[in-house]
Amino acid sequence: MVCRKYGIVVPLDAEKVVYCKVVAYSYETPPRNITWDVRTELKVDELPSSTIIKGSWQVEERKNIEADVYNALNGAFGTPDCLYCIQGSDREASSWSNKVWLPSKEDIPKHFWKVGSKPQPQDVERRYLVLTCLATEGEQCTEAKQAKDLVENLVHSALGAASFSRALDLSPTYYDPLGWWSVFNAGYLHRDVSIGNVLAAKEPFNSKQAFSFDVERLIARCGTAPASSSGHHHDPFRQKIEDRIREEGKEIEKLLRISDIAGGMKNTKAFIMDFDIATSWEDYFARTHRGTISVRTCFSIRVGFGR
Amino acid sequence: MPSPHSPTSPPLIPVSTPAKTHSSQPSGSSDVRQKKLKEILCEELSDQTWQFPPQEFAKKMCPPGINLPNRKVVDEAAKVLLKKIPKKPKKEERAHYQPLATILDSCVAISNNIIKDHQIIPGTTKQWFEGLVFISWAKPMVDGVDGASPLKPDLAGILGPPTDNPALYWGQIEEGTGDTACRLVLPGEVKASWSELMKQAATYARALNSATIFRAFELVLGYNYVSDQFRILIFHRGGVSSSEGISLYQKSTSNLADLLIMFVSMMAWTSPDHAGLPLFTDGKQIKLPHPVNPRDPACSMILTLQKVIYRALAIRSRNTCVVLASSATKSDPPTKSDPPTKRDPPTKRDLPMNLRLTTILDRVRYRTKAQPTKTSNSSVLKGPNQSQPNRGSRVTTDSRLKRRGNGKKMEPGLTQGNNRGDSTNSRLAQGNDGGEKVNSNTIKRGM
Repeated sequence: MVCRKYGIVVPLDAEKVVYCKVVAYSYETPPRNITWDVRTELKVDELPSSTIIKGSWQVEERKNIEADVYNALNGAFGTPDCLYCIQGSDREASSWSNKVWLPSKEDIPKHFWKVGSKPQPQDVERRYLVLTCLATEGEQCTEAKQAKDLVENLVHSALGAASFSRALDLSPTYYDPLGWWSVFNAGYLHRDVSIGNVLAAKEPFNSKQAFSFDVERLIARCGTAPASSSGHHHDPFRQKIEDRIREEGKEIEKLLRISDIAGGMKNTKAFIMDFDIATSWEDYFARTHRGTISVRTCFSIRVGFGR
Repeated sequence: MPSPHSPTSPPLIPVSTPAKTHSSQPSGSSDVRQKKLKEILCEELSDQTWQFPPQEFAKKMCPPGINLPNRKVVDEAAKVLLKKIPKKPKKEERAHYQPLATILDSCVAISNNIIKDHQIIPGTTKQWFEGLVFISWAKPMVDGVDGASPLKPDLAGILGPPTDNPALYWGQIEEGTGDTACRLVLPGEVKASWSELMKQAATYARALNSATIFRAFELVLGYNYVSDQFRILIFHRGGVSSSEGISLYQKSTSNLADLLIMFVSMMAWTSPDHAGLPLFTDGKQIKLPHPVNPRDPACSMILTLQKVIYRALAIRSRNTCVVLASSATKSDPPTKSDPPTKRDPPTKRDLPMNLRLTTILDRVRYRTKAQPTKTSNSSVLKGPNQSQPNRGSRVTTDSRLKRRGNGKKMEPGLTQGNNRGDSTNSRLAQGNDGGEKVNSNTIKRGM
């Protein structure tokens, strides 16, 4: 006897039929243990009451990036506490990656199916399921009840805001995203600032680290970074980055002086997340990059190198 | 408020929309939306389209540890199938639906015979597609992906014989929807060209994908009636992979053997992951490493999924899904079908950590009481019983068709629906090396 309703097979007995009707599962099997590769972890003593779980299918070369960023952040201001980043282990690879369905790179000509007008690709797209569990619960910033909360959330997490500077009667500039700068400070460019990646913490929480923006240290890191494609140490790009860091340092200093953050630098009210397409900035210009930078213009105020 | 597992509770992932018929929609709007969606999905798939010879594709589909029958066996079975191939219909799309359903039903029946006769899978193991039958459909599905036009797959693979006037769903079916409600597990499409068929099939894959979080791939059947070619299409997060085209009406046992070997592979699926569904979640709960010691495979936690915060409805790409989960109030026991842990039994070296774990967890257990948490549900698929659309369920029209949702509130906890051994402890307890067993349900920090 089959239960067509839920797409599962059940023997014809009363108990099972009731079970089948009661549970409106996607499918019947309860969750099972699988083997995971743990890429980063936060030492905790207790299970948080709630967790945010983010799952995404990452291409091979980026499957460790989120874990790398969280490792580098280590609970920096404006970023969430990450319990761990995990991937299905190789033993279960067929289920947690699509590589079984793809040809090897050498066999691309043999297996390419020309359906539309697109020419044969140069590469296949192997993807792996990566799960990130956060101990910090958040909600969309748009759910803020007051404008001040919204602005504060944005400042803490990712975005500068004109209204904030106007409200504080400061110079007509935008103010800097602290969470975003924490990521930068850790050596990474976020590259995907969007409304979905900026969350207000359900409850303000103490970051493990206070906000820090050490201008001289960052500039020193620029100096040790590999030269860009031009190969010259006095690279104009690098000079531009250095100038920009000094400029931002002044702005952030100003912001910290006038905001609540200055008093309690650990009290994070919002955070930036999703480091799927982040990249290390120290050698950013020395590498080639696949794809496009995903930043929506309406949310990208001063979060990149260029204005 | 009803329990999420009570008969009236809505499922977590699918959200319903009122059933739409063509007459209820503004003129032309459905076609326009569907056309736009197909363009987007086509753009998404781009050049990542692959094909493999049927034998190779059958091996890819075959579950690990299963040996496919040798060619001689399949060739013999193909002779039986050849006798069951109906006369090729005229060159009109609709005329192909029923004959194709007949052929596919024959493939399923013969494959099942091969599986049984040659003990491809152990006799007691339930097949994932047990009872699979195909019906000519071409009518709107009851539910659909938020905002998209109701889809009308030409063929519908369902489990069990169809009732009169069945109502087909992509996603979960809410209680009280009537005995005619039926889940579509395997859609099929008939078209005159592969490019058109691919686009349409991609919309079915999107609907199947939206019904289950973290799904790895979706299977759709396609038949090009002009070139008389049948393909099995697998939509995964890196594009689409297909079997090479197989002629159904050429009166060739070689072609039909190629077809059968793929069906044997597919009918040998016994586990959700064989069909691309994640093993660590069932859409209501999720089982993950315990954060106290995530590197210990024997140490896990069960969380109740409460709300989908964000879902990217893409068939290729990262397909990001962000969910809010809380400590489960009840858990399922490890089942017999659990893959055995590959970790060696705890050694003396492990003991301090295990002891520490027990101590910490006991402290948490006794210090806190499980508190009811409000749960809400958000989803992508929409069914007929949800009259009020969620505030957050508007459709965006950006290229990825991203969507974020809010959900209806649900009560926490599980009722008898999930009580196949409620008292059993989690894997966490098993990892305690003889220490006191700890039920992960009780591990909860004070709120």
